Amino acid sequence: MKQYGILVDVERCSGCMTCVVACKAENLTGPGVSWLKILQVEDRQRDRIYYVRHACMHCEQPPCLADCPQEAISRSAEGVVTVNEQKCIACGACREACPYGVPNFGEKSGYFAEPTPLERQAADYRKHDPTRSSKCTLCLPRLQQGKEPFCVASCPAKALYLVDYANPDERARRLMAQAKAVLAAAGSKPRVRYLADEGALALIEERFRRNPTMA
Amino acid sequence: MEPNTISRRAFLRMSSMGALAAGLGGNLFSLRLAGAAQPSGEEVGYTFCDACNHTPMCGIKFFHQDQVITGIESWPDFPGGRICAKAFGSLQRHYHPNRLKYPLKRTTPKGSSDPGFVRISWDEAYDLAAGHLRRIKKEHGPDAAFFYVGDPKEFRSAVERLASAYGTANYGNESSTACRYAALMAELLTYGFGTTGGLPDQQTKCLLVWGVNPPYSTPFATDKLLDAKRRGVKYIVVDPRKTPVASLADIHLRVRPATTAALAAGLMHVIFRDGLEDKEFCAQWIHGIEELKAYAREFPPERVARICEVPAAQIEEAARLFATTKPGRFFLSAQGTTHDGNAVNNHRSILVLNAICGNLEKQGAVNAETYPLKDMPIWAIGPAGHGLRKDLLARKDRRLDKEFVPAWHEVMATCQTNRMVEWIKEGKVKGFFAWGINLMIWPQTHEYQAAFDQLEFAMAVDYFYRPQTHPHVDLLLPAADNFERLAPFAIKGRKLFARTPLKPLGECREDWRIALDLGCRIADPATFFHGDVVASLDSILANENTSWKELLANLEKGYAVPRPGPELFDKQAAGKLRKDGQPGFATASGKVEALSLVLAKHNLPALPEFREPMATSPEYPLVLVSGTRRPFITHSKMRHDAPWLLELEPSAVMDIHPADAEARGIKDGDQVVLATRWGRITPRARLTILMRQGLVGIMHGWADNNVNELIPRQFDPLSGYPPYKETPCQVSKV
Repeated sequence: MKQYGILVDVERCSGCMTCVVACKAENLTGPGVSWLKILQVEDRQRDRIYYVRHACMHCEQPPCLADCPQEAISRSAEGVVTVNEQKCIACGACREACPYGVPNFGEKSGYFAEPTPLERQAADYRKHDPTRSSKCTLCLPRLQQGKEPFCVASCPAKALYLVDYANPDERARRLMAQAKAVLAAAGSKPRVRYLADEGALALIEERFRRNPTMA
Repeated sequence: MEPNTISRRAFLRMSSMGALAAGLGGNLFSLRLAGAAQPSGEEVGYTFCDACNHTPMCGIKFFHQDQVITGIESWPDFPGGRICAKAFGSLQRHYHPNRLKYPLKRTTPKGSSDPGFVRISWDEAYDLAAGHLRRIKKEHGPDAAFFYVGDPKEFRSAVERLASAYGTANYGNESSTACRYAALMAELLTYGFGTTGGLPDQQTKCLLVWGVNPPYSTPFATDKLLDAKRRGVKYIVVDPRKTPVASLADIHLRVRPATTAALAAGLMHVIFRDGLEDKEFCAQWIHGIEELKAYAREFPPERVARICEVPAAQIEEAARLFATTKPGRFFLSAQGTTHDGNAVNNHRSILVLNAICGNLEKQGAVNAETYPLKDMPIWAIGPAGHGLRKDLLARKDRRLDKEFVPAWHEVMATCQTNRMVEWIKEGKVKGFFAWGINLMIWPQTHEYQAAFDQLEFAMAVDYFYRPQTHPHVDLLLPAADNFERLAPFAIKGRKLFARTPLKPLGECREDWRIALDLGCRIADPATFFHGDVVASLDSILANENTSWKELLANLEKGYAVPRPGPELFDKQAAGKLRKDGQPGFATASGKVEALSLVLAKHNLPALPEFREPMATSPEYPLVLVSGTRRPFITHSKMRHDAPWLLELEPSAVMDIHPADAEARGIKDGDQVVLATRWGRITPRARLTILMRQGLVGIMHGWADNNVNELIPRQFDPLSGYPPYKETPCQVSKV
């Protein structure tokens, strides 16, 4: 069984926000809910700006899963962490537990007074109860069709790489050797990892720690 | 597969894949099933994005069922690269409930608090517009009707044809106001052909990126820039801001805005001083080389360092790198270097710098097209034949911009529009027929709004009701969007692409057809193909012996116009750049013109001279950049039209360097007063080292914080362009 993860090449990301909007277009998440954010992280000393993905890390040992009182969170055989919106009671424990503050809770389901034809005709996996916990699914329905997650497939800079931790190809192996977990000390073993120098990584960690939900 | 590990809904959907999932079990993930899992009944369509101004556009593949779009992605075989946030936004825009879907007619006098728009039929709308066109011609003459295309711009050719057939001399557009054409004018004056350079190719060793940040303005170029950097291409980036492309730079010159010509003169000073110029090319192909050398001598690096606020050593280093790393190429913007009072000569200075290094007409350098398609330029310019441009140009002597910008009037085929306030007040323009117009494009917008209220008749075509513009018009027509338009086809190099539009929502009609329909009412319908859009396109495609039908037959991969031969270089020596077939460049002198004969004739600065920008003062110590890009917005487009994009930045945000902010007690997110001598707005501050100290930047097009109200109506005498990136300002806490 494949074990999916994403490597984020911080050196290539230019903060164009295509992945953020592509995710909205694919998953039709509601207002105020973004399964994927891009942070602008600045290093004033070294005069550098980094654009950094913030989304579910699909941890091997997800603290959200452990802390959910409803057992609404599970990890699929291929390592994708998902939330069952129907079991979720919106208690927020998952968000509290997540070292990265990832799970989203919204208020409104649509951007407009009435659902658009696009929303009405959408497949079930693109329909959400905005008040329940939701987050990146690694585009599981796309993975099941042999396609990359939509953010990976859409990135104009080609800064995101889908990798299989169970059976990495040559390129993936090389990149995985360089990739680092953010907030590794939390012990959750994230499968979304970053290609970034130590200076950048320290700043990213500081930013994640200071305001994990990026509210 | 373990069904209990995924959400119930996702599981149910997978179950609906039925036998496939059940039968394949654990092997499901090893299969490549792309395209196989579309729900039954879903169809594929193809179109182009209209969110930007790259009129060779980006390709969108979309999926639809019962005429409803269910998703979009990049068109795999469409040249260029992947679509960006704006293209994804166009999907949400398509279904925005506020889209205009029916023609609307004003029922109250101009200036009323409510224009009282009411729905009318297309016939009534056309009768109204055509009636005014006929009346204006009879009462005031045809030149009193002004035709204009703002944004999007793909259908310019149809409107140009309408203007030409109607008989006016006055057709203008967004490019002839403030966008592409000042740079184009500089290119035509200097090289005799249009080029902003572009991405490095396999031969290019050095790339000079000046005033442009491709990852934001052309995101599809980002991966190519990164890959070229990895292959060892050297990057010199000139930009006041620490942009993503500047982060790739071997040398980043964080220049003070609007000092382009001084920096270029400084670079040329070093190159001439050290004898690094391409002496053969200079002697043979540059007109005014001695005058240029004498001029550059006045710009030693120490002086330029003071003017441009970059270190002298960096100027030396950049000059040497560019002059000795051959072949070099530039990647320029049409706006970064032309939005100031010295627009054309600032831009010309870069072109001349490139020329003295001999980076013209060589492999890997800056080149004219060897085999341009026959009368199929980018849609921002449009085919001259289809636009009936010959007739329009025959009336050029009557064109309104003749006295305002004489050199522009001589060189450019389109009317510069910035004097519209005066022309309306003086009664020279009585009717305005506009597609995609946004009055906020103009500096001191309120003066244009007031002037528009004095027009006898104004018409606009748009996707949405625009509160800054449409209260000032009499007729508002609903435009079909990029998923509903047929015209035009896409031109990508030598490949031509058709598209497969859906039925428009409501009564929307495509802009191209609206122009043809109006043409049928005011002129011989045969001239306007009896309103047949495909016939209109076929008349263009016939130039290359093809047709819409043939393009459709090659829908996914495009129709490739056969290439007559290999790419050629040194085309000026072979007599392949001039219409008369003589050796040389297509300029007045036949050479690259460091000294412009056209500018000299009009008593304008004929060398690419520096002109000191507006002076800052203790009262206004900072410089304002109107139009610093956000990657998810072009102009004001897509902002309120697509909430996915608006959500990324829901209100006007001004970028300011942390040191400038802290000196004023301003914190990130604070509302501030941004003021110039001409106006004030109150955006929120974003503290970022993207900005250099002394500079603030903000996107234009915010209706409630219109930065162009802060820009004066002081125009470059060569192009008539406004000083969007030069005006002194101050920032303070609210």
